[in-house]
Formats: sequence, structure tokens, C-alpha cells
Amino acid sequence: MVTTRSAVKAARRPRYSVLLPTYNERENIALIVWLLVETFEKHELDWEIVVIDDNSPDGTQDVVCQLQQQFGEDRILLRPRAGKLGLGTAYVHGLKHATGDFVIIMDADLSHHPKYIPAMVEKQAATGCDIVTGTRYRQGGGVFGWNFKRKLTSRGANLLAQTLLQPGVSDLTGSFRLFRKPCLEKVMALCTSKGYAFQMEIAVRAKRLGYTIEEVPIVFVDRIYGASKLGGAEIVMYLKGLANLFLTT
Amino acid sequence: MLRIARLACFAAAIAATWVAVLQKTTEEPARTAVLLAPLAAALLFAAYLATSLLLGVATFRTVPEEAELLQKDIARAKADLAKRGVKY
Repeated sequence: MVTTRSAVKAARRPRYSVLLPTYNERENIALIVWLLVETFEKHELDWEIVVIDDNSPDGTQDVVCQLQQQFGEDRILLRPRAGKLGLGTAYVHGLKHATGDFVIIMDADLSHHPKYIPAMVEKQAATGCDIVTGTRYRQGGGVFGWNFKRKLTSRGANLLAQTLLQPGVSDLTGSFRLFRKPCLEKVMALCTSKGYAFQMEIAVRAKRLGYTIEEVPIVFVDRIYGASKLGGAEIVMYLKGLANLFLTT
Repeated sequence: MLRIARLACFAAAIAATWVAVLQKTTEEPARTAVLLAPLAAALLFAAYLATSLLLGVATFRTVPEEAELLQKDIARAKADLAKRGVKY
């Protein structure tokens, strides 16, 4: 029997690469990796995790090495960088090393629970879309650990962005997403924003390029180890990013 | 076409319509109404945004059950990692 290359490729399960940029996540990285492994194995998904550590001084990389011993160096890829170089470049760096057909981006601090990944996978398989984004705002979504002020800021920022950009996505600043790998690669090449606006830029640029986006509800549990950052500087950066997108897309 | 360009064209069209209507309307009550129409529209829009925002915050679900489930999952993870001898 002659097996053509395309037949072999079609028979292979799709692989899902999780990109985890980390800085000082010694406590969380072991837990998130364990939960990811459990989820992937339970749902029989082909997987790998790419940890992009920005030279954490707290020993995050040592923990990753132990996890590699446990789960396989071919499954847990440690691709560190020399210092804190930002989230956007971390994604680009991770993408270079990811071998999957799909890429999942998420926070490494347990605010995004791996248990939502199967729903994203199913949504993508059912609709054939390019991107699945987790949304906190739709039916079934939500948060925990946010007071009125924090909710107001989140909704306010999102409403402003919806009004100005009309992106067709309910949760613009969310960072728990699944992409077809070529889609993320193409969009990342165009993104320049920093901070919360960066996630927004990915969604908007993808939409403008004609990629299709579907949503699944997720619950965001605010960081249990460490404090969330949302100061005046973050807000200004967001508004600048929003203005830039409004004028250039 | 860039979104801002489309919005600018749309705004220009609305502005031109408004000026035209303003020039045609000369009797007093109607003229003041037309003159104030843009302001009224802006206020209505602002009210709509404010209502959207407050509704959005009011319906923003807080889910304590998820936090509990997460704690349970963390406990399971910690137990297994300890068994495997992973130190962090």
C-alpha cells in the first residue's frame, strides 16, 4: 500500500502548542503545566507546551526542567530569553519553536484554566474558524476576584473599544485564545501595541485580514499568587493603543 | 478603506445634510430644533453608552464556584507533583 504524504498528514491528529511566556512563575508553572497535561491527556489531544522564560531570577527554569523530566523534553519545550523582552516578542519567539497546527496563548498564573481548551478545540473543529477567543462577557462567562471598580474599568475599556472599532468580538482584551498557527504568525508580524491594547490589536488586525473568530465563554479567576497590575500607566498605554488602532485599521 | 476614512466620509455627509436642512429651515421653532439636533444626538449617544456600561457591569458575573474548583484542582496537582518529587 502506497501512502501519500497528504494521506499521512490527514490521518495525523492536529497538534496543539501552548505558548507560556513566564517571568517569576516558579510556583504557578508546575501547577499550570500539570493541569494542561491532565486536560490534553483526558481529551486525547496531541500537545506540546513552549515555555518562554525571560531569565526569571526565582528559579522558574529549574522547575520547567523538572517538568521536562516528568512529561518529556519533546512535550515541554523550554525556550528562554536573556531578559524581560515583552509579551509580543515572547509570542514571536515561541511561535518559531512551536510545531503544532494550532497555538494556544494563555496566562501562566492560573487565571486561565486549561479546562476551557477542549471547548475551544471543539468550537474550532465545528466551525473551521481561524481563531477561538475566550470571552468573559458572554453568557456562561465571568470573573472571580474583581470588585466593582475593576469590573467598571474592564467593561468601560471594552465598550470604548467596541464603539470605536466594532471588531465583532465581545472580549477584546482577553488573552486566552486558540489560533491556527499561520494565522497568529501573520497577525503578529503586524502588531506594535503594548499592554492590554496588544491583545486588542491581535483581534482587530485578524478581523481586518479576513480571519474568522468564534468565542467560548470562560471564567477568569484573578491571580491567586501575586497582585494584578492595573495602574494609571497601563490605562494611558491602553488608550494610546486604542487611538492608534482607531486611526490605522 | 480605513475605518477612520469611512467614518470621516459618513460624518461629512451628515454634516452637509445638516447644513442643507439648516439653510432651508427659516421659521423659528423648527430652526432652533435643527440647530440643536447634533447636540441632542450627542447627548442621547452619551446616555446610551452610560446605560450600556452600567448594564454591562451589573450583568458581569462573579463566579465563586470557579475559584473553589480551581483550588481543588490545585490541590490535586500539588499532591501528584509531590508524589513525582517535583520541587517548586
